[in-house]
Amino acid sequence: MATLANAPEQPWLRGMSLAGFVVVWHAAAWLANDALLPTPVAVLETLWRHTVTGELPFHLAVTLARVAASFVLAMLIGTAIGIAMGRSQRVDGALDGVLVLALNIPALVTIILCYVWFGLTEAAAVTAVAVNKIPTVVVTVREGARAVDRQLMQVAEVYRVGWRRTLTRVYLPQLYPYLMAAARGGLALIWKIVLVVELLGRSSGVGFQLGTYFNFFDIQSILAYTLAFAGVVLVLEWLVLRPIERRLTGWRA
Amino acid sequence: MSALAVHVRRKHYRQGDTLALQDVRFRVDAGQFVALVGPSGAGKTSLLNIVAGLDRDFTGEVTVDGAATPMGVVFQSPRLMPWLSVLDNIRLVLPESAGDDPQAVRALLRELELEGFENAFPGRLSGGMQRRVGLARAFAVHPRLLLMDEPFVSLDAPLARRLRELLLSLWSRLEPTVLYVTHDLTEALTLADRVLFLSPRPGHIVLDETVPLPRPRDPGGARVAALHADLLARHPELLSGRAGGEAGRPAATGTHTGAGDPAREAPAA
Repeated sequence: MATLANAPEQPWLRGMSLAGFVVVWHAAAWLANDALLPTPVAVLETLWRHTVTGELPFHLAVTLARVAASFVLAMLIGTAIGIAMGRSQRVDGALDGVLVLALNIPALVTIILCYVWFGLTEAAAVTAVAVNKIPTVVVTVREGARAVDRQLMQVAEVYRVGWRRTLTRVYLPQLYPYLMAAARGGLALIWKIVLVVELLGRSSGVGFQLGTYFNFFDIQSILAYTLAFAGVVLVLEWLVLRPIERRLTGWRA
Repeated sequence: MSALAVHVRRKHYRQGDTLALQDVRFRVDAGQFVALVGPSGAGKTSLLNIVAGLDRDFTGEVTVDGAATPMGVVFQSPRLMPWLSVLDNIRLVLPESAGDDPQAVRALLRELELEGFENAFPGRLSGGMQRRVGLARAFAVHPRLLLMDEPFVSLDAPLARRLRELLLSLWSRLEPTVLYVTHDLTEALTLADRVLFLSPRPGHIVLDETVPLPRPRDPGGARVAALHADLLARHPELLSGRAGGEAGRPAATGTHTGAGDPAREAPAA
């Protein structure tokens, strides 16, 4: 966990690799000279066109809202179960079988079942995504809960530190690296599943749009949406996840 | 009434039937500094955990006077929260109703020569400083009872000596009752008003000795050395925890003793 936080920042290297990718893309598109592989410039133009009509921002916002809802749901439930399993061998024994099963159910199966059982609703969509993510959160948080230092908990006990303070200043700080890892992996997984959920049973969101453009073989629009989506992920990583991580692990520096 | 009354009839180790402590019974007067000396494995830490209330899996009873106020505990390792600054580590154990007035804490840190390190994280401090923070944390709660488990072990001699002096100056000013666990008889004689000797497992108290020396005492000085020698002359088995005569032992139990145990068969004079 520490290596993640302490990896030296090399922004120019990151920029170089991104620039290299764009150059290769452009060269390939130029050589292929085919509507199925548009140039980066053409994709940017399309991106701009979809943005000014308000269409792309709307679908992007809808997708983001679904991501946020499923993410919060999955983290809360997954963390609670993970802590319970990490603390108590009995709970762990009771739920471990179910956990292994849940980890191995394909995302598509959960999505189909949620839609079949709960209808083609927003709640079913968010539930389907959250259910896919919960098991991996549980596994990571359980690892953290098992590693909690009993000696530090004893300090809180002998000094009669209240449960709220014990939770926020003694217990949870030990889980933060694990929670951060779960959040990172969580976002990456949820992005992908949300799009599938939208493709299969929603009439809004990036996934729905991608499905539509797929029907028209509109590769330019598909890449434009992908680019916008990837941009949002990068911004979230830099502006939200990293600062949080730096704050939580500042004492290691 | 004594500040602390301990009677542990039996304490078993978590695994198996091995007895860790058997019939440990003593009282400590308010403000008294009592050292608990015994060989490793005698159950000293087990006993301290019982008194601290961390271990309730024993038969017997522990009565702490003024149990409404928290006790101070200094552990073998500093046990500081690495993600909290020095000041926040200490604030953590203060009652929330105490408000945000760090003046008393700052004064305590100054006394322990930690001024200027209030906002440092423990990972940046030396081992000796971390132990001083642990000491500050224990005194910050104004404990009536202070439990210490070999707090200065594995420090070099001059540093340990300095920390002992700091401890004594805080103790004489704030007058908590102290139970101080150590395996080092010289350290016990340097610090304590009274020394309790614990036998090897299953631990029980084999000797209860008052230390008549005036303070300050020099751990390398003649008086401590003379008392040390005198104790060993009177009780040659002491450092292995088996004092001759078994005077302090309330009940004889034969089941756990080896057959060829000379100290038990023929008590030294």
